[in-house]
Amino acid sequence: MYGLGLLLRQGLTYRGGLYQLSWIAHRIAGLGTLLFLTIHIVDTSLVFFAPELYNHAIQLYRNPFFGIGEVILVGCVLWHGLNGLRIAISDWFPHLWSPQTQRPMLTAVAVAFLVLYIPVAVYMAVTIVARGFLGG
Amino acid sequence: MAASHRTARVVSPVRPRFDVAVWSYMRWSGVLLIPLAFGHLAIMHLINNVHVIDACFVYYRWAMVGWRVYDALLLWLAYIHGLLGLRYVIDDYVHQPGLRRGLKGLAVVLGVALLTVGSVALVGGVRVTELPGGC
Repeated sequence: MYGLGLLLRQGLTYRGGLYQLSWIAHRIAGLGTLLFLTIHIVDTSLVFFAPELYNHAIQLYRNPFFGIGEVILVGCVLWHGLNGLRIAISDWFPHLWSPQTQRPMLTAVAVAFLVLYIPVAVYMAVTIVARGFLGG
Repeated sequence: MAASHRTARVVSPVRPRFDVAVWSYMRWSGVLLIPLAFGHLAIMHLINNVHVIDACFVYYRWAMVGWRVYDALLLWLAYIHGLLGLRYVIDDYVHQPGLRRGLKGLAVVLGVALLTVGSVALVGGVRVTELPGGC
């Protein structure tokens, strides 16, 4: 088992450029989202198994520390979704797997990610400061 | 003969049909998850957020069956998509057959457990009677 160490070493030695970076980010974002989802299914299920405990869990999530995690989560889902869409479309129409088409597609993914994520992250950060750090 | 024995050694059983099905599922569920997950994030993490959500919020939300169907789709599509993604990661980085089987078995157990727990909650709904103040 080589794990993350190999992934990072590969990232430094195998020069796949932006394409490889997009793949590493896809993987880490996917695993991060899976970890969150595992916790999220359990906490939401508390509405049935122990509703009072659910309210307590939500109370914990109001902590700015979790708020920052939430901003990271949204970034993970956005990147994984947009980059995954590029992979799915390219796999369904394999002639798209050429450097000439992948370059503009990856650029489109990166632009769409930044255009969506920057305002969302700013909006979430404002909420964290207003409701979390300053209390509201 | 000895050489062919060596080359024929199979480390993990190859199941092309299952792998093709997984490959297809990852793409179709992934595309469906884009509106479902992005929509969920927009509604439950941006328009509403943890500062306004509580058990009563979920109670009123789930009063509409449509939202339960939405959440059920999200639960099943996303968690199976995630665990099958984990399967790719395990295959890529874990090379000891025993450990690989063990980790995959753990993923199956986790999947069955969480999909059951989540589905029970979705069908059962919010037990308002357990809340001191009600809703």
